[in-house]
Amino acid sequence: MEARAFIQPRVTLRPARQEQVAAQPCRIADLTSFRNLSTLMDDVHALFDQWEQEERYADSITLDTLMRLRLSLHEWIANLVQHANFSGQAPEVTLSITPGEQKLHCSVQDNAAFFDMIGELDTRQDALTPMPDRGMGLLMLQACTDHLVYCPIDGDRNQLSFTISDSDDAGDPWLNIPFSS
Amino acid sequence: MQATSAMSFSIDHHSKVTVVIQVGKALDFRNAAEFKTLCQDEVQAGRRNFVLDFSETGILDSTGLGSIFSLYRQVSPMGGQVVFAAVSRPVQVVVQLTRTYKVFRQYPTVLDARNALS
Repeated sequence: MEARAFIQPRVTLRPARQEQVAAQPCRIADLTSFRNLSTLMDDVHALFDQWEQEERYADSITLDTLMRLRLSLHEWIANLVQHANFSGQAPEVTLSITPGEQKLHCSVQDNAAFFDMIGELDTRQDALTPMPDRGMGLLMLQACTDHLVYCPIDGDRNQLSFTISDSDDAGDPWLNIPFSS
Repeated sequence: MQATSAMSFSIDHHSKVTVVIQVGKALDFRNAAEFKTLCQDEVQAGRRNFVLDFSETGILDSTGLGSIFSLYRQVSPMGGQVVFAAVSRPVQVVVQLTRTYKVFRQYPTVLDARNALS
């Protein structure tokens, strides 16, 4: 069994993905803002329940891929709810989804304090113990997604963006958790 | 058999050593601590084999999975087992993503899992 976690290298530091997506002939299908941190998770899951029921993105991605998107956003929001520092401001979290061919582009803007996600991912990857209790959330987000970018925008806001797709050049997405030391 | 319910979870004491936990709608960062406490109490009461019923579960996140790992680390040195039953599609997505099928056996139904552990 593997002694150390292996994560597919899908994080990019370059914010070029936003420009690429902006140039594509597609439009944002869903743009939703949330201001209540205590209900944020339930509100987002309610959106997904609705989308699954409506088969909203069935033309772009499979249901399993939509479930990976739900999991990815769950992990990010869990991180926001548990760890983000809003410095006393009212939280503002905006979710946008842009459909593409066999993929969705997703972005989440927030007004919390920026943090070094790349550094955090490296730290957590190195610190991953066999069958860990904690520390897998961001790694799971990374494993689920492509072109993961987190950067400051507009001075006091940050944006997480990524794509999620049916096809994956690197093979099935997976996070290799060590099961034994 | 004796059935009891915690806030988020239902427990079915199948035998002196085997317990079925109906996970319910979610096992995530919001109730993982409750799950861990529940499991610790069961281990202290002598249960070694745990069937996790995921038939109704729409959310299993990294913290929820971590609480299952914690249970596994407790019971496996005692010869105990943790198995999954009636795994829902969202949970299956997590199982595939993390490849935890290497560690946790899966059964189509709770009955199948109970019979396998008998």
